Amino acid sequence: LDPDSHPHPHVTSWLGGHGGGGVGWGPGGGVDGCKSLHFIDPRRQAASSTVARAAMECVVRPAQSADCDRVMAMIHEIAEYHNLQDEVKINSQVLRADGFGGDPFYQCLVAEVAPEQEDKQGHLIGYALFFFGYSVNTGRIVYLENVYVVSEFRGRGIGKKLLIEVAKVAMARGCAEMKLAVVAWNGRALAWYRRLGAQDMTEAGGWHCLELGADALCRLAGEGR
Amino acid sequence: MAPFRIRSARPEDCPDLLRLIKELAKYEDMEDQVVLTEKDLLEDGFGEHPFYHCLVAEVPEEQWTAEEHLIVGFAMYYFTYDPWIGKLLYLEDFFVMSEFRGLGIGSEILKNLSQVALKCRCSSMHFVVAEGNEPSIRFYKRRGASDLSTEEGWRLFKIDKEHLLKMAMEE
Repeated sequence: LDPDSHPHPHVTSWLGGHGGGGVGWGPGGGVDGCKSLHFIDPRRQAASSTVARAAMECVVRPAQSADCDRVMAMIHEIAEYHNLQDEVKINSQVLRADGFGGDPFYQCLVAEVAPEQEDKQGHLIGYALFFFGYSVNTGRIVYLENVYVVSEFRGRGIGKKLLIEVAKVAMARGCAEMKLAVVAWNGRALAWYRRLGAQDMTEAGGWHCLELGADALCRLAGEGR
Repeated sequence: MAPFRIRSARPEDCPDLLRLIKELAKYEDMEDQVVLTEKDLLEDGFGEHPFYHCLVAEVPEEQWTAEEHLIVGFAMYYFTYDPWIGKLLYLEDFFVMSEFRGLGIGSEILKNLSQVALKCRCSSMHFVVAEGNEPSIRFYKRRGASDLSTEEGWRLFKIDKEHLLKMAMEE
């Protein structure tokens, strides 16, 4: 498969870097151990020491309505990377209405690094978008739609941190499993998810994803009998 | 009188839903994998934030099955989200009892689902079919479905509870 072919965002493939093996979260570890947050300028990242790297803390938290502009910007980054900006049909207003209206159609966690100065806002550098679904066999599931970390912040375990937090949400809501899709040419993402225990059901069970697009739906909806 | 009608499932349909889910599982040789109970279906489908929605096909009394079943088919679906195009409809399961096939119930259910999708401004409908399931693949392709696994290389992955727990417990 041609890696430059339409990647379609409906797959969790935007991890870049190494994703899984990054350094820990500094002293205290984890989201709650961020007592002292240091902001590392990514432009100096390559030259910085292991200590400086380890000191950079990143918080994963639920997205808020106010984050939609930034999340939408990150969604655009993915499209731009693939030169598919025209494929993006929604904007931050739609994202906000669909995620923070009365009936949310998705859930979102964001990865935030602390600001350089205390009075400034944190900066979002990644997100995980998922939703709840159902399996006729086992009941409640989580479907992981998309995990993304901006390129300068990859290779530090932020993607894995996002995934861990989604797993926690899944467990808290009584979900029996998580489903996700990856395109065949994305070897890194395939390996990353396999390392975390994901089973390829297309390979193992012959599962194929089918789609009835807008035109087909219109024809079906309008059919007379 | 119409031979059948399609409507949204109601809480009292849960026993029939489970019966049909199990019948479908049997047809796919996966009966022992169904661990869902009527209570799960009730809580998860008819609470404040349902995990799924359901359409059912019912037949009039004179056509009830030998066991006096009114409900002879169902489709279970939920809404999903694509960061580029927004809402989608995901069809989780779709089944019509064998005695009632060939009457257009499946087509009518699909028509209803398409109307739901359009009404809710969903850009498309997604679903999963096993590659060995020729009748289903033909059914959907006849209606304009494309196979994203074959055409775009989509691979579906599953992370089971054991591995989710392991992740969730990680520091």
